[in-house]
Amino acid sequence: MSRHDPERDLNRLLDADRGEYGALYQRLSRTEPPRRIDRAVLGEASRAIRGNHRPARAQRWLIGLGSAAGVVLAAGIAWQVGQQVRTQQVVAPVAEDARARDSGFIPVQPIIVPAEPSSTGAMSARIEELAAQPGAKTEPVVAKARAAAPVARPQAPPPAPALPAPPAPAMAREETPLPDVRDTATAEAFPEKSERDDATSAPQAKSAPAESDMGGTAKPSEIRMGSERESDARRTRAMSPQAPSGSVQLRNNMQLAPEVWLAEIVRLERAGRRQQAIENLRLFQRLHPDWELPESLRRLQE
Amino acid sequence: MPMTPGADCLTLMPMGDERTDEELMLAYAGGDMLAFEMLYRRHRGTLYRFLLRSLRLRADADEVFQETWSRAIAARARYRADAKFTTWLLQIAHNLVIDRFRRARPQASEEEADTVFRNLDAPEEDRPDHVLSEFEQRRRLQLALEELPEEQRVTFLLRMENGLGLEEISEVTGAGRETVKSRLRYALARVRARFES
Repeated sequence: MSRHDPERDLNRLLDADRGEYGALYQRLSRTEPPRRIDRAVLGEASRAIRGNHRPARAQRWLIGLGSAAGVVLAAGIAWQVGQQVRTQQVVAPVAEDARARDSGFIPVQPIIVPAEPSSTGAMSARIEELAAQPGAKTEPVVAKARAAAPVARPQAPPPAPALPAPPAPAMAREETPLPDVRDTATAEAFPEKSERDDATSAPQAKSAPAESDMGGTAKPSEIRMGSERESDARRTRAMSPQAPSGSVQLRNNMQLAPEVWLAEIVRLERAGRRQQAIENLRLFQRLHPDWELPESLRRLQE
Repeated sequence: MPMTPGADCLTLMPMGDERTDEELMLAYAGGDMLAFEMLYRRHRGTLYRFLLRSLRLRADADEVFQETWSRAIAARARYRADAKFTTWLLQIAHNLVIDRFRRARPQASEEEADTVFRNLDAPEEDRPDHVLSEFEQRRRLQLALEELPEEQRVTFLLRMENGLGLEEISEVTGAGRETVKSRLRYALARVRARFES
């Protein structure tokens, strides 16, 4: 009876013929992987070297080029859009106003940063001085800029055709019914007058504000045209569901330099057009919230 | 002749390539598909049988076989010629097998093998391999392999199927040289016990 020696068995296993079970093991079935797996492995190997052999560099290069092109394109578009916006703001404020009226929003104007608002007293004096000047209502800032730089620019589009005036915004209409004493007769004859002026005489409003908004009496020709224009205005109101922004007067004032606008408000108040002055003041405060108001206007605010 | 992805490896004519496994792998990493086909032909059978006998289930073996090659393909750029290709490939396969074992069930204890050793003292002349038919001997070896604890089975197969020495088995499995020897001894004892039962 012989006993097995594990160490000897191990040494035989490590021999070249793998010991007593080596030959038997070699006679076990020689199972091979399925052909579908062969195909899958070889396919994967082939795809791997086709996928990233060399083309990897080209792809990186293409990605870089594409990114750079995208950045340049975006910058170009942004520059173009910026140019267009600037041109539109400077060249065609009237057309913009007309568009804004059509779309029912107030065009956003760049807020003019005041040159270090001086002390309230000095500012009040300056405003008083401006308000006291006859015809103190100066050109809007944009108009000034246009006058200062009349270099060859594309011509502004012709004034918008005499569109019927859009109705005033709800807030403005609620507050405007307080008629100016001097306007009473006109207002009675033409309840839509101020609205007509908004649309039809936008350019004229700048040159002759005294006639249109400052309480000038109606001319006979206007009276003759009254009923026709009134029906136009009604038609327009019926077509536009939402009331557009306030009067052209108000929008024009928005473009004034802050101290000039305040002087205009003071002048309106002194002329007895308190409601209009309040509207102007409210809008002024929205656009220039940091501007310190003179005492007289603070009282008006209350 | 390079193979197209859809072609069958077995339809290829035998390729006489004198290059070593390591050279072929480096050539494949450089874009030589023919080198990979050669390499695959050399190792597909032994790798598959190692996996099939380790995992015992054909479905598992298929899956791990494909995954092993897949990882080798993905890692081709990191392959260095100072590592023997067979050892490198079997390391990948072994890691996947161990993962599979861990997911499947807890490792069998090696204490069982001690019992086998104690009962192993059978007379030489009564050894069943002298009297069993060839078919029966192969069947018993197959069963013995299947019944081995996982670590012993893998170690035994790396020796029997892949012909690795102690150092190489140690490198593939990450076990120490003495541990490898111990596992081989236990495995042999269990196989013998199956034959003598």
